[in-house]
Amino acid sequence: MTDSNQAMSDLLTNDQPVLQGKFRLQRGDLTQRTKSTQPFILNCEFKFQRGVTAIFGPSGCGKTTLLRAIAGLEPSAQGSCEWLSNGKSCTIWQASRDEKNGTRPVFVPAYQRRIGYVVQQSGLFPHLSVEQNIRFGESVAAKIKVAKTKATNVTIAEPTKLGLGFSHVIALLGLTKLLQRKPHQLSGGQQQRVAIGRALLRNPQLLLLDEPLAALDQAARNDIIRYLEDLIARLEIPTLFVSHDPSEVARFSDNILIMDGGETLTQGNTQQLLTQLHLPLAQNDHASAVLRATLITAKDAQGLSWLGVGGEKIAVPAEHKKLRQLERIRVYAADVSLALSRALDTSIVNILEAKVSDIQNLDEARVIVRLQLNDGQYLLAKITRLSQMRLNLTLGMQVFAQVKGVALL
Amino acid sequence: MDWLAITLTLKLALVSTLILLLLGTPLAWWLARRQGWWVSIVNTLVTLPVVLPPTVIGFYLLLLLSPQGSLANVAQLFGLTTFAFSFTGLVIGSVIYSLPFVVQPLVNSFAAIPHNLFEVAATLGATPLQRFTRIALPLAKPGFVVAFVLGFAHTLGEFGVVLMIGGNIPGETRVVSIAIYEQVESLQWGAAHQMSLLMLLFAFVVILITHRLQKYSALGLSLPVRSSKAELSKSKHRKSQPSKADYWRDAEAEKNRPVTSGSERDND
Repeated sequence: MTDSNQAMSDLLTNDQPVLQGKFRLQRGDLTQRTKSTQPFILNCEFKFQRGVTAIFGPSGCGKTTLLRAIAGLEPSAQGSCEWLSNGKSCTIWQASRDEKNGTRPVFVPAYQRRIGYVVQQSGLFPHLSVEQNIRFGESVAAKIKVAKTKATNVTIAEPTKLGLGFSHVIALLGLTKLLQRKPHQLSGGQQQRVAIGRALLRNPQLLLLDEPLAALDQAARNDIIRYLEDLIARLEIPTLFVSHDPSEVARFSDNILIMDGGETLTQGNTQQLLTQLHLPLAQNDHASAVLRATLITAKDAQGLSWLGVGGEKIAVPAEHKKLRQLERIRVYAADVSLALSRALDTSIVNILEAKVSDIQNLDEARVIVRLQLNDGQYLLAKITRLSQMRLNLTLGMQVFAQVKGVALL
Repeated sequence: MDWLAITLTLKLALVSTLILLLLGTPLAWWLARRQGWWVSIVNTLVTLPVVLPPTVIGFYLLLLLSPQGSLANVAQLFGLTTFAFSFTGLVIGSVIYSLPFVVQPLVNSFAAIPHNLFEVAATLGATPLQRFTRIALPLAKPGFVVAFVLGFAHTLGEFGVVLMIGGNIPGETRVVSIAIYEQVESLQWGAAHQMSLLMLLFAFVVILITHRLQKYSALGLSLPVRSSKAELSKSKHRKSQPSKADYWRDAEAEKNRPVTSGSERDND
C-alpha cells in the first residue's frame, strides 16, 4: 500500500493542477421541482490537471452538480474555483467573500467562462442547422468581448489554443456531410458529435463532458467512442468526464475523482485507483485494471502481436488497430483466473507471474484480488471464495495470473 | 353594411394585439421562467379576464378611465378629459380583456423550451439577451402565431367591455358587435344578419387557417403548445432508443435538477 501511495503522490506532484477549488451547495426544500425531500449537499474539493479526469460515483452523488458549478450554472454554489499557472493563482472564476481581506465575492457567469460543455442529451438547438449549431459560439462571440471588459476586474487568461478551426472540427468529428441537416434528422450519436464539435469550436479552456455516451445505444456509443478517443488524445486542455461506467473511466481517463454523497472520496491516477480494492471502482461488476505495455513484436505468423508487461510477454490479436510503441491495455477482473503454477495444458496464452497484494470480499461467494506484477503494476482478479480457500491465497503469495482477455485502449 | 364599424373593429383588434404582443412577451417570459408566490399572483391577475363577466371589467375600467379616475391625468396629456368613450379607452379595455389570450400561449411555448438549451447557449457564450433573442424567440414562434390570432379574434368578439366603456360613437367606439346589437334592437334584422354572418365566417376562416398552419387547437387556454416540430420528433427519437442508463440517469437527474427558479437572472 505504501509504495502505491508514494507512486500516486509522485504522479500528482509531477503534474501541476491547473484548476482547483471547492464547492458547497445545499438544496432540498428550496427546490420545488425536485420530488425528493431529502436535502442534497455538495461539499466537494477538486484539483484537476491537464489530460482527462473522470468524475466517477454512484447516481445522485453530485457529479453533474459539480460539473455544473464549474461551468457557472449553479450560481448558488458557495466556494471557489480558480485557474492556476506555475502554481500561482491567475484567474478566478468564483470566490466567496473574504471578510478578513475585505474582498468581494466573485462569480463569473457561465457565458463569460471559456468552457466547452457537452451534456448527456446533446442540447442542440432544434431550429438551427448543424452548421449553425456548431457556429453558434462564433455568432454570439462579437458581443462577448464587450461584456467581458465591463463585467469584472478579473483578468481572463488567454484561452489555450486548440488550433481547431471550423473545418478542422467538422473533419475530426465526421460532420462534413451533415452540415445542412437539422438536429432531428440526425441519429443520437451524430447529435452528440455535433454537440462536441460545437463545444470545441468555442475554443474552451476546459472541456466538460457530462456522460456524453449515456443516452446513446450501443451502436451509437461505439461510433462516437472512436471520435472521442482521437479527440481526447489531441486536446491539451483539461477535460472532465462524468461517468458512472467504470469501463468508460478506464478507457478515457488519466486521473479519477471519485465522489460519494456529494463529497470527494478520493482523487488520483486512474491506474492506481482502479485497483484500490476498497474503492467502488474495483467492487463494480466491470472492475478492470489498466496497464502500460510496450510493443515487442507486431503481428507474427500466428496473427498475434506481443506486448511486454511486467517483464513478461502477452499476446493480443493484432488487427485491433495500429499498435503504438507504448500501449495502454485493460484487463477486466472477471477475465483473470489464478493458478499456483504456470499451467501449460490450457488454452490461455497470457500468463503473468504476480504477487497477491490485497484481497477483499465482494459478496458471499466472490472475492477480488489485487495482484502486483514484477514491474509494480497492478492487476485485478475476480475469483470465487471457494477458489481462494482451495488455493489458500494469502497476502504476499506468488501466483500466476491467467488472462483470458486483453483490450487495447 | 356598416363599413365604418368594420374598419374600426379591425383597427382596434390590430392595435390592441400589437400592444399585447409587446407587453405580453416580457410578461410571459417572466411568468414562464419563475416560480413562487409573486408569479402565482400575477398569473392569476392575468387570467382573471377569462372568468370575470365583461361588465365587471368594464365597470372597473369605467371608474379608472373616468374624469375622476386615476388615468384622467394621463388622458389630459392626450388633450382629453377622459379615456372613457374614446378609441384609446377601447384599446386599454381590449388590452386588459384579451391579455390572457395572448400571454397564455406565449407562456406555454416559452415553458416548453427545454431549460438546458439556455444553459448550453450560456456555456457557448450567449448573453442573457442573446439567449432570449436567439433561442427563446425563434423556438416560441408557433406560440406567437397562436397568441396573435387569439388576441386578434378575441378583441373582434368583444362586446360587454365596449358597451360599458365605449358606448356607441360611430367611427370612434362603434365596433361591429355593438353595431349588430343596435341593429337587432332597432329590428334591422337584415343588416344584423349580414354583419353576423361576416363575423362568423371571418372567425371560422381565421381559426381554420391557424389550425391548419400550426395544427393547434385554438379552443381555449389549455393550448397544447409545442416548442417545434423538430423538438417533437427529437423526443420521439429519444423514446425509440431506450438505454439501460436511462433508469440511472432519471434518478440522478431528479436529484441533481438545478434550482431553476431565479437561476436565469443569477447567471447573468
